[in-house]
Amino acid sequence: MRHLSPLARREARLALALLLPTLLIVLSIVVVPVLANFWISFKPVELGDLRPPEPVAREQIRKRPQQPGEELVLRYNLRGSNPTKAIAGVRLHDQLPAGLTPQNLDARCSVEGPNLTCDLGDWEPGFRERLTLRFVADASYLDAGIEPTETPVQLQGDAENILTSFTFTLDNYRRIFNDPDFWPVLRVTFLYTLFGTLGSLFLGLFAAQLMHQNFRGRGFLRGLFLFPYVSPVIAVSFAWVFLLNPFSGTLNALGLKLGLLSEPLNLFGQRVAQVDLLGLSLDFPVALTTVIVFESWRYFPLAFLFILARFQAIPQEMYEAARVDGASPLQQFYYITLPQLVGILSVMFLLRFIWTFNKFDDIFLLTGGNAGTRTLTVNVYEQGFALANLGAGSAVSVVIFAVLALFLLVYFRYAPQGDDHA
Amino acid sequence: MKSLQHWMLAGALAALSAVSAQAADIRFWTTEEQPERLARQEAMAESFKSKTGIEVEVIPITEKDLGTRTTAAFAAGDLPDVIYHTLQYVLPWAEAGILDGEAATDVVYDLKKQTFAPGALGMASFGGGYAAVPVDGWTQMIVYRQDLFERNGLQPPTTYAAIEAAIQKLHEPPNMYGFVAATKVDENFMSQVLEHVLLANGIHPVDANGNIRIDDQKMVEALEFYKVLADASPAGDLYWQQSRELYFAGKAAMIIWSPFILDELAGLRDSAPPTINSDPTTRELAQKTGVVTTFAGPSNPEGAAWADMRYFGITSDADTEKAMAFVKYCMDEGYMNTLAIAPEGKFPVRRGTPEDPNKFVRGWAELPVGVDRKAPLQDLYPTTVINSIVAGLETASRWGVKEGQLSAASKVINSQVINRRVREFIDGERDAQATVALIRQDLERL
Amino acid sequence: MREARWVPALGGLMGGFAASIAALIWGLAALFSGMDSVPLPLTAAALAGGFAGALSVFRGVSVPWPQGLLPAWLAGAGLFLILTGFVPWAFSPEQQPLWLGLGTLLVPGTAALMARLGLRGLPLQVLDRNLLETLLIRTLRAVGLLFFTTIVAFPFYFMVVTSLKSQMSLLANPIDLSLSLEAGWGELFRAYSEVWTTFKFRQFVWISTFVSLTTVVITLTLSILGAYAVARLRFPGRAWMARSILLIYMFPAIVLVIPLYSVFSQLGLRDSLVGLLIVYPASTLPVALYMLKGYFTNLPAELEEAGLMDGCSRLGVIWRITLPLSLPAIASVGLYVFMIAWNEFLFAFMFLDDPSIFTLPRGMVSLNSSEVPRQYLMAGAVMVTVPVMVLFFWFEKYLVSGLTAGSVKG
Repeated sequence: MRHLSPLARREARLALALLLPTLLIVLSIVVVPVLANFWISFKPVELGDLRPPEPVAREQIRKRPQQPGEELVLRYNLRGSNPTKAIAGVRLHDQLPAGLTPQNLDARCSVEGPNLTCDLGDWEPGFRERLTLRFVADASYLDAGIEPTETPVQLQGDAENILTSFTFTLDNYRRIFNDPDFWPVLRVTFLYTLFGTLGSLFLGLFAAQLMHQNFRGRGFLRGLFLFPYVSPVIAVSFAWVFLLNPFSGTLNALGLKLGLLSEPLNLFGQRVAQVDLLGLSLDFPVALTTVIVFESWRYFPLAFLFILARFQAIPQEMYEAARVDGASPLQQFYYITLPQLVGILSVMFLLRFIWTFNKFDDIFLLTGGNAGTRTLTVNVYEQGFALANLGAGSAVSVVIFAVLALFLLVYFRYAPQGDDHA
Repeated sequence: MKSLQHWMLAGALAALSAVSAQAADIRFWTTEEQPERLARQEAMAESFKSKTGIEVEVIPITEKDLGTRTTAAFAAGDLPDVIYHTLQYVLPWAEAGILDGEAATDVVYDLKKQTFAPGALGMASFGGGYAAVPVDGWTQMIVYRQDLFERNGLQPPTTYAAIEAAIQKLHEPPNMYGFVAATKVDENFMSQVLEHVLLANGIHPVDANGNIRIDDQKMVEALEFYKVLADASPAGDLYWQQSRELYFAGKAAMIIWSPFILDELAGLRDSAPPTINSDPTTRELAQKTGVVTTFAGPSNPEGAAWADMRYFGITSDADTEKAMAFVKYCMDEGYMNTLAIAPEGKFPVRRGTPEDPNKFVRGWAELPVGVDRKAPLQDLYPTTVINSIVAGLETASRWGVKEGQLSAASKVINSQVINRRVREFIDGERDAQATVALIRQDLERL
Repeated sequence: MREARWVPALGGLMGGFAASIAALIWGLAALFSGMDSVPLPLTAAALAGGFAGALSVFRGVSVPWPQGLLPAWLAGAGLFLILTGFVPWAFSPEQQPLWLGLGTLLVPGTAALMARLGLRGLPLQVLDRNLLETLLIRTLRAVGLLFFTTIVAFPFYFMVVTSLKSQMSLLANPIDLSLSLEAGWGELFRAYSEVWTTFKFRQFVWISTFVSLTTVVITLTLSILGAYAVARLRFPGRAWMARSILLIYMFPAIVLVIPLYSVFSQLGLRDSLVGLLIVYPASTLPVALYMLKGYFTNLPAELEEAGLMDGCSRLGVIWRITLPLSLPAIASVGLYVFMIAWNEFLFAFMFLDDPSIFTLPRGMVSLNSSEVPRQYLMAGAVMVTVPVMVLFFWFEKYLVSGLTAGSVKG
């Protein structure tokens, strides 16, 4: 900034101030977490390890004095919150009500006024102890009627926080690459991404063709066609699951009734079906196809909107000229419309490809990643949460990140400059 | 950071004060989340409050998510105070430090140890005390169409061979499926059914030293048998829902289910009606139904039953005194209400009070079952059926109980490794021998 | 004008096709209304429709043949009845006279109408490639419209109807999508009242509204400032910034989940609305900034310069000049952000455990547990969907421009 004029410097400072909140929030919630995956993926961290081990005490009165001079027995049941982790330098602190005199106080403890402090030293993993303290109560204690359990016990101790420590491992990567499911998951991810993208583009192109003409009710239909896209995925996915339910779903019942099906199809639950084609027996991935169809259905409106906008920008004169030259409607489509669409179609393809690749909600809600529909994104959830291994989940995230970086490279290489595709 | 966070929290709370509920004294997670059952539990919390002034928030948790959510809550340090959970979590959670075994032990001793069924207590025994307080239990059953079996001269499904013979005779899809197996790997239901089938052939994957021990021949027999069941089932991911729907539609000859099915099977629940005829309140299907709790594989002639136990766990983040008071209330004064949530699937494991040692068993037998209509079990089913269900609880077993390795066995179950490999075997990815080898290898890695 | 001989043949062809489709739709409609009607007499319908279609476009000269739609219509209906032996549908005429009559009239009627419309305004002198292709395209267009309307509307129709039925009737006959008013309005909407009260959706609606609106406010405030800076102010790294904005919103949310989950857990932000209110603006900010930047760049800079001359500060210029000028753009960005926040599922699902702070999508997941009857879930689905739909239709113009401008995150 040194070579800027004072005015320009002021302007830059202002720009920075205006951008600062956005930058901070995006940096801390998006950029840093993406990078943090690299860190976590090298750590042996499971879901339960997120809680730093801490000392826990339960305070109980084992014996209550009835008369002055009688004994009060107080017990602390002590343990570490995580039985597999050690805790160092544990100190216990509690407040005692007035009128209690300690008897044979444990050597680690001391009482100063109302304050009880115990220096409990280092705890091994799985440490447990019952610390029993005896007091003699006098009349003032009985009069006040306040019991020692009414004040909370405070404990301090040092333990390793797995997230910030410097313990590293390659186990997570070993684990995910050695998983026999890894390559199938990758394959499913690409099939899903490719065909989901193509399906939604194809439907969108078709729908845009239909709408590129004036007729009554066109505005309404255009709004309607956007429904699958704007409505919450949680609602439409449940509707689809019920609609296609093999035993009590409408479509299967209809197919059986009309004689189109001999047995109900479990479209979201069946991994493969044998299809006989020209004497060849093929394994047809049923559930994967169904989620691809869902994906195409849900996202065609987006392609539809963009392609329609592009259609309307094609000058009518071109068609008139073609008509004069005697071009038939299909020839007009092939020679005039399609070339005009190539740009938007390829940009849409790249964008949709990346977003479909990123998609998690849809498959998770439709099949939970079962029946041969587990994609990389679902695998992050599976590893990190279903199997409670955060490190392995992060390692999958890193794989996603790597693949994505490749796509983005392609995108920025081939996307039109100036971001004017919209 | 801390103060900023508090400041933000305060801001949000102020903004939300219109919608957020008041924080209760203790939070209770329950897997009994059907609305009717939830309402009963809320009523119980209400009566507990009027007695003690302690407010209990009843929070339903889907059983499938319970493991993940609990671990997550533990990680974040905001566990609820009391969790109602199944046997499979008792020891793993105690070892992970999620459950406060001392509090549970105190409850058991306060209520008097001898009033509990010893088996249920034994399964929760941990570090000289108990990891959780046993609440109720049920035995898994093969529910079958007695009418069809009799008409075709078939033996009741008490052995692998009898079941295979029945499938041979009765399987005529899509109008009648011989069986509805469990094939959805991430459902607890599949673990339960598989454990039952494997137990029936005498397979106990964990030995007394906590090592993996799988007998090849027994395991291959069980796998081949399960494949027969799966082949006689519809395609796709199946769990309790499809089993019940198909059986209720009169399209399945045998299913495996819990006794919770007994009320809806008799047309007492509108949200799960029998559809075998046009009358959703029909008792016809119930009368055509027989049940078996113990069945046997070729290598284990005496067979086995499978039972599930449910426990109240007091967590290590709990407000211990209040949580203990609540659990005691539910197990004592409120115990009949606890069982009444669904008596057909909640057999009492606390039999009575020290003064009246059979109080709860007696009371339970008279509780009416059903949701939209109610009737006592003995009005709906022949005495023989009821007796065979209850008798199952005495002989029922689980992996690891006999060996004293329940914790290791629970880990085997919770990993769902067996489910996954069995499903792959059913789908034809590899043969039985290879599957056994792979299961052994996977389990040893745990 | 005299038409060529082959025109009735074309009309017949189109009529036959239209009649088959009409028969198919009518049969399905009858099935969905709980009738027991199969199989469909498609051949008969096609023949009758072809006849009606041919008649409707035939204007012969030698024979005094009746002209126009109505006679063709009636003739087609008559032929239809004869061909099917007076029982065109599998259900008996005594039971469903209404369906029977309507069907008999509708099938040839549609055929005649379609044949007329299909041939309207075409140069019918020469039968050439041009004419045939135009016909083909018209047919495809009609079929396509029908197809798209069906695939888009049917799942939503199914959702609404399912929510109004009982589990019993759903299981008894899954094809029957008709509604019964016999039990009264209260019974019809029972699933809604149950979901609204017993399952606490009333509360979830408030929370979702609160979360979404707060997200909109935060995102708009920050993105207006940021977008203005990128669009108007010169600073080092500006071009780079404009590009990386887009880059950021190509990252999948799932990649953020594990790190955010870990850190939020340790900070105590996980199971809280504050956590969501940090994450939602962060995930919508790049898009909003990008959309607004595009709009601001196209605003004439002269007005702002005039404002600056008059002694306004930059913020004052933004507030008094830029904002009023770009209200439509801000509205569309706001709607779009609202939609994203309202529909958001992943973070709500991962972060929220406490039912007293569930958003609607999270509440839906918890509703989808073991034993909740299907109509409750669908009632919940309708409740989540309706607000978005209403907003969408109300402000369609803005939203569509928002969707196109932002090339929305999928």
